[in-house]
Amino acid sequence: MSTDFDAIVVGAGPAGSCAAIVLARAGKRVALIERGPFAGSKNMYGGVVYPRILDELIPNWWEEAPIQRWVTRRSTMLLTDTQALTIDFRSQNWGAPPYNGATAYRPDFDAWLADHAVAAGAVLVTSTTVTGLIRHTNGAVTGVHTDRPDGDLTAPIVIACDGVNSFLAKEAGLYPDVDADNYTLGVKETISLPKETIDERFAVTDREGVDIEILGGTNGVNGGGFVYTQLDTVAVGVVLKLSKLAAQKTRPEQILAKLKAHPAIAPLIKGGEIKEYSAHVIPEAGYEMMPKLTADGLMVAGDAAAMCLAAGIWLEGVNFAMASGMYAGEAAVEAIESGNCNASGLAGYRKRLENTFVLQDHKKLRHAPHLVLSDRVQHLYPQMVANLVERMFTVDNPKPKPGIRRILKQERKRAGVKLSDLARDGWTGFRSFG
Amino acid sequence: MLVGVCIKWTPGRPEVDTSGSVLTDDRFGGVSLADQAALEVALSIGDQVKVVCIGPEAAVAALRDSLAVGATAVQFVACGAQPSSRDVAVSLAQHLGGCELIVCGDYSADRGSGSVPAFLAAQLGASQALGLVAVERKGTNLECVRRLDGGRREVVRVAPSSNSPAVISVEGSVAKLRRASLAGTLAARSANIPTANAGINADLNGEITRYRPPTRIVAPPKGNQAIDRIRALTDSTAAKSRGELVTLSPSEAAERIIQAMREWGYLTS
Ligand SMILES: Cc1cc2nc3c(=O)[nH]c(=O)nc-3n(C[C@H](O)[C@H](O)[C@H](O)COP(=O)(O)OP(=O)(O)OC[C@H]3O[C@@H](n4cnc5c(N)ncnc54)[C@H](O)[C@@H]3O)c2cc1C
Repeated sequence: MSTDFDAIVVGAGPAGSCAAIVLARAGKRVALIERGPFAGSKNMYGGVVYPRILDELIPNWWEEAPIQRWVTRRSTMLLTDTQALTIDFRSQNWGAPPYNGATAYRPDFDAWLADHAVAAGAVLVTSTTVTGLIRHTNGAVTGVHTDRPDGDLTAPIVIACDGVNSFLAKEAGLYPDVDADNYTLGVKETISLPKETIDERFAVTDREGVDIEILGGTNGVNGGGFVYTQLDTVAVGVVLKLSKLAAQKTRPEQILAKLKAHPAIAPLIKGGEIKEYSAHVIPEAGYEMMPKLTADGLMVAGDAAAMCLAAGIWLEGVNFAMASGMYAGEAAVEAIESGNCNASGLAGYRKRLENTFVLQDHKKLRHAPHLVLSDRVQHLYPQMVANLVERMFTVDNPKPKPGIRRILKQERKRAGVKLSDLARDGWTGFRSFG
Repeated sequence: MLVGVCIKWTPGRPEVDTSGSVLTDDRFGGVSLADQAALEVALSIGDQVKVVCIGPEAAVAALRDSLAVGATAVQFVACGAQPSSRDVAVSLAQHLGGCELIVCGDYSADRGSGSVPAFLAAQLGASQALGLVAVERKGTNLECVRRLDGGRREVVRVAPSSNSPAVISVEGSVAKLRRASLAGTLAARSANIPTANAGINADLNGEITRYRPPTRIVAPPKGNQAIDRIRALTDSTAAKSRGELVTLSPSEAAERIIQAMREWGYLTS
């Protein structure tokens, strides 16, 4: 049966563009359909990408990617209302090729990736929303409906890269019941400041950048925060567990305003002008919430398949999206060439994910998202640790210095942390992160 | 009927940076709602529709969008400079030969003064009906409604023909541009866009003047008490010049308007 394309990729985010690059480079006719007026126009995130996976797809990508700053300082900050404990790491190695993490604006980064797909021969159709799947009577997906007049397109394979809350994956029945507890809401402000001010306040120079991940500072709603530096803007945001946010009935921008006013954050952004406010949902539960990844004629990649890794000290979604898109593209090429685009012909997709960091990291860290968002890690431990450190460094002469073990015991009791819970969480954390 | 459409593409998200220069983003660029309405009016009236756009390279996107919704021909006229409305009209006229009717938007998405259609009509020797809020085809004629001051409306009959073309300009509310079909969108992506050079070198960047009249030296208000001085400044009864109602012939009225604009400082020559 003749079809309009060999493959249709829905969504020109990092997952979709990488899938389209692979397919187009293999000489396949591929349509990349994006609802926004250009790739990246609808997309937001915190701000740091780890594009190592692009080494395979775009060698020396760092020479051309629209990068703002190369992250050379990574801090993990623990906040209570009046305290802040920061572990700060700096490496100049990350400021030179082949680099590590980088800050980039999504409208720039995603558009750049989509340009590569177009250069490889993909047909990018923008301002077009896919509204549903076309299915053969046997159930196999054979194309998509779009919101344009006469808007149906056919292909033996559809790759759904339509992001979190994927309507296509849901329509195909790949998601089991959706649980709001598996999602967080991320909101952020992009605040403009002169480059020199940012350099000074964050102790960096030239294109060096800073990534601060924050535990606490979310007004008691389980989640976390972040601060990232771009060339002449700073991104400040919070990630909030949906069910807790709903229960607290606080507006997310109020929580963000409170974080911005925290004594550890306020001086970093003082005098800045808000350029942008944006919000997006994150599939936070990772492996535990992943859907079935394939059906006849259909694959799901990136956030659409809950592949964002949100494990406290790591919030990585773009690299997982790029990799899963790329592997979906490879599996699609294989299936098209073998003439079997059913789920069995697409099995190469899952295999690739399992053999690489995508599913390996997710499997290893499968308990991390729930641990990090648990009430104890969110509310009890930060206060306990901050109090411990405060007492360690409080000089209370003429009293002698207290022993750390004794303070720990007292603070644990004061925080109401049971030893058995501490041991259990410690073990889960060790198994995940260790 | 061959209907011409003139659209102006403008870059999006204008921002003034700390140095005072205007920064824009082409990716958010587009044409005004009025230009979109003009295209829709043309598509619903014309058998053939030719869209002409003068602007920077990025403006080609607007012509592809026009083809996608059904324009039968397009012409891109490359021009990096910011030409005057008269120069734009001269250049547009060169590409609108054979059009019985030319539809423009009433304003562009940037500083749109809506003057290009008037210059274009003058250039083509065409009749004109500008600032329309409704356009309806009645046989070979158009019945148009024009907005007047004070909420009044004027019905204008436009009778375009090959030896007597007409230029109309429409407001954005006149019509909503149809959505392009998927096939149209795909075809437009790779369509050949004929390109000409505007041959306009004048860049108005340096000449653009403010809309406000220049500041004037105002004598300090009289009065011993502060309240008297405030009254003198703000009390409408104290205003020196009031509105003036004059009844003149059109050409005399135009002269009077120009004279007033000179007096107020809007015109310097
Ligand atoms: C607040 C926040 C902070 C984050 N911080 C980071 C970070 O610092 N680093 C990191 O690596 N990751 C981060 N992430 C995660 C990251 O943004 C995602 O994992 C990543 O964007 C997933 O890419 P994707 O291509 O799968 O989906 P998306 O980027 O969501 O792209 C999906 C695309 O599909 C399009 N689309 C959707 N539906 C349709 C449709 N029906 N028809 C046509 N097109 C459609 C959308 O417009 C969009 O372009 C963060 C996320 C959030 C919300």
